[in-house]
Amino acid sequence: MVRRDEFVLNVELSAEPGEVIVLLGPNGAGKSTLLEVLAGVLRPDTGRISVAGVLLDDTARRLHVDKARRRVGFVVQDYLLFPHMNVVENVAFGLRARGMRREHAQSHAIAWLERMGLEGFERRKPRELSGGQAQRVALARSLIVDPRLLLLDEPLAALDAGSRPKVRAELRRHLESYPGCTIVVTHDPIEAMLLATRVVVLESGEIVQDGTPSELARHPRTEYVARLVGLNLLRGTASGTVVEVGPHAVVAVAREVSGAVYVAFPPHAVTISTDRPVGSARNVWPGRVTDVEAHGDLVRLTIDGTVPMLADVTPVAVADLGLGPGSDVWASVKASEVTVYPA
Amino acid sequence: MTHRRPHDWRVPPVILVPALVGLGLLLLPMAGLLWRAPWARFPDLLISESVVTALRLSVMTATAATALSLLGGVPLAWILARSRLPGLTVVRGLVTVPLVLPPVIGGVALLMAFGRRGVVGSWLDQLFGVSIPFTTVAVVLAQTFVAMPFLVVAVEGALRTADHRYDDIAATLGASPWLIFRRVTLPAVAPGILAGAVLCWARALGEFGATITFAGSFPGTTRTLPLEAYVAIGAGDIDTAVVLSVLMIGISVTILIALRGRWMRAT
Repeated sequence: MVRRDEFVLNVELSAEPGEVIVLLGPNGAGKSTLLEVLAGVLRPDTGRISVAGVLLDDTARRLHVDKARRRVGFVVQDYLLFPHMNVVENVAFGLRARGMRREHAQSHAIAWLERMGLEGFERRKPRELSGGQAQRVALARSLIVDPRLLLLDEPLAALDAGSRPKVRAELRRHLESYPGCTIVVTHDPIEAMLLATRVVVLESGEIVQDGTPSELARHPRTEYVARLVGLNLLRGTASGTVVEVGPHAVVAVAREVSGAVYVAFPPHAVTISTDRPVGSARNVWPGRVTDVEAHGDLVRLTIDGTVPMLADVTPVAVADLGLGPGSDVWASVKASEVTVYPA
Repeated sequence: MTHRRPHDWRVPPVILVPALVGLGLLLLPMAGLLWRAPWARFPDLLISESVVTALRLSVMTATAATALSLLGGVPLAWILARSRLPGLTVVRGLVTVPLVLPPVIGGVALLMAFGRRGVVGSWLDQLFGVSIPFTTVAVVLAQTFVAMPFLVVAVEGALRTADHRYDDIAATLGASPWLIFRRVTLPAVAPGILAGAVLCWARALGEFGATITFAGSFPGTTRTLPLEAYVAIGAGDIDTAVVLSVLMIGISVTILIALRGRWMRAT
């Protein structure tokens, strides 16, 4: 646990070798702070950290392993390659720090650069590299000393949108061949889905969800995650095939459940009409449009009512129904489109 | 279409007139020196024994003082910029005191510390029979006292602007504090250290008040260039005083131009 002025980070997390854990969360959730604690740059106020069976921090026993002896690799957003050293010297730095002879360390570094697809860049200075190349050099510099744990803080944020997909694919490949556990911090859900074997969502210093990318995408447990994966999320109490999500607000679902549950449905499953519909949909709620904005080739409506939600409709529907902020509408969703899972 | 002119040559008179007065105050004395300089006898005076002796002593002591300042000043600047020791604000204030203290007072203070009856001086005298005042060592100490703050301030500034996360990264790669300092921190602040060292050297070269108080004015051992000029004036040898002054202005201007060139190349 780390206290910083008003902010408290309180996290319990364990990971297996080979896992790529993506820490996802809004700005200020404590993601980077957690990495700094793991790297030993910050000391926890209370708590234990152990990596691969080695205890690195235990405040109860006043134990703190210095960052130089933790063997935790740390790659930051802007990579921070040493600007006055060339690429080989950067990569060889950790081996030189362990007392390896220069020629020996450099030949190791050159082998790593080849593995990273960076032949011919050995004598370049960091400022002569593209963002993607700099990232691979930073990765090689960390991996060459065989870290027990690899930490990546927003590894793709410094790249332009054009090169990001290619670098992301390469990064994924390199992480797959790394035998230890990797923790990647990001606030980009696509990055999280593509890199992670497991996603941990951090909000206001607490873990609010922990699961595989597909669990996260199907069964979000907070509003933040629901927005990231594009779902409307409600919490309620179920009995039979009906979930009470608020006073006088119920959602019908396709299977029988009971107790505290979440219900989720995608915005594109919502049908909007200005008159009360007379169809097979069991979920029909009145509401008022509060916001209208373009969303891809659809239009996203924010609807306030007994069941607040987002609804995606076609521009044709918006024009035909004359929708705008203030319009009173009926929103309907088929019970078969609603996912329900225990809270 | 309108263009904003890159340079506007018109300056309002309320600014121009006092600016010219200020510039005149700075430049007129130097122009007077050059005007008054005995150019015909200049080479002969320059290689006269007393001038050469003073020049050699000055360069030697200023260089020694700069070396001493680097040795103590760079680590001191590191502590001021990077550590979180208690009482650093007070230390930072104390370090800059010599910048505003009249150098003569610095000389008196040095006498109180290192004089034969001083706090450290009496001890040195009893244990080793060593006496510092009125020796070349005293000159170096006086110059270091006055000039080291320039170096500390310059290096501390450079360390503050340098990104300390590089040091953290180097540490996670297994580097020891000394290796980080040598291979990561120092290269990053090298231009700041160089600039600080040059300023320090120039200030040491021009040191007068603390030197004459603490080290006296003995030809060959403590009489540096500024002291030699002062002695010449006292003896009515205006020509020698002017030659020494022109020499020191020459050194200062050369240093400034060299620093300028260095900074221009860096950017």
